[in-house]
Amino acid sequence: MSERRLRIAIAALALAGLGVAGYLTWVHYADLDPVCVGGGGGCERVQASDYAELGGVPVALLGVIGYAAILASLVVPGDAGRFAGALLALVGFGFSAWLTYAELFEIDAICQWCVASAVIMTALALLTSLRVVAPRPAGSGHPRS
Amino acid sequence: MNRRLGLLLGAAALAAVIVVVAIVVSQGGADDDGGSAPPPRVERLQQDGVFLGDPNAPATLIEFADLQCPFCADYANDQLPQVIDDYVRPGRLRLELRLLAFLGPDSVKGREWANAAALQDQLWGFSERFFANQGPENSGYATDAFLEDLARDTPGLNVSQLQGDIGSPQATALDRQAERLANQLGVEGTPSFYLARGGGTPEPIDIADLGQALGGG
Repeated sequence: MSERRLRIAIAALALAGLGVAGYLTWVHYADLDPVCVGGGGGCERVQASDYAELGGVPVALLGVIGYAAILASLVVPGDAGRFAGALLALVGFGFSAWLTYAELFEIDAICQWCVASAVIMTALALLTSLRVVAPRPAGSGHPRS
Repeated sequence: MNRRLGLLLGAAALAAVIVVVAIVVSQGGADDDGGSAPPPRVERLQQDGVFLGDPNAPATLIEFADLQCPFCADYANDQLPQVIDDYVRPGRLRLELRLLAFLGPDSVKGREWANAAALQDQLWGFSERFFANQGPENSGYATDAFLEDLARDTPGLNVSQLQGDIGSPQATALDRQAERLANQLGVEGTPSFYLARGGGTPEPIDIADLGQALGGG
């Protein structure tokens, strides 16, 4: 996959993730119940659990920050931007894995929005990692002085 | 080693460290709180004094509890979330919590704070946190600092207003109402449950039979 296509795919996924995390952040602060397809109260139970916050900060808000930072990393030129994007997405992937474990084995409830975010973050981790190791496009390096 | 691969491995290692540290720190905080069971978000349901849920619900479940009673805590932590999800949230049941205080001084102190919280329609949020952090019976754990922590942890509760309301005529009236109702119904222990349908006379009920009494589900 070319650098351009990777950047477009990463941007699209990060925007989708921003939408999901933004919605969950909104319902958190508006004190609403998230719309959960099929009902069952899974989203409410996850949102009301100890795992919904990390250090007092809503996990959904951390997601918004993470997706926005991944998006911002795309405009940072060179390896620094690629490294930052991969680091952010891998951190997000790690948290998503932990939260999915908590949903399955601690909270005993599944939030479809969280699953959607976990899938998006997993794809982002793969694509941003691929972007780090992929061959650079011609002329993308720093010019020698 | 290929430089790009090195970059990726470095990012993965750093990410793993960040995730592990954050999880350990956040889990440590959760342990400090002492609350293992995630409380249901009662704040999202309508609270009115000692009531939780839709005032137009066809039935009301009255619970008599002592904040120090371990069986009451077991019910609050393990079964109540399901009762709320299955019956209260859909509007099929309204809950009524009547606090008794017969186990000792920590019960009395806890009830003073809880009934003061009821004046702000936050009895359920406060009592849930008390049950989730319940200490050994009559060990003197229900100190002002312990209770103030619970109150500060209860969303929507004005702590200074609550402290001003402790022992007020309105708050102590709730003590007397609970005791009078318990005497009328012949309550012998806690937790005790009574189901009132359509404003009818409350009938004793085993909480395990609640689903059947409400017509399944």
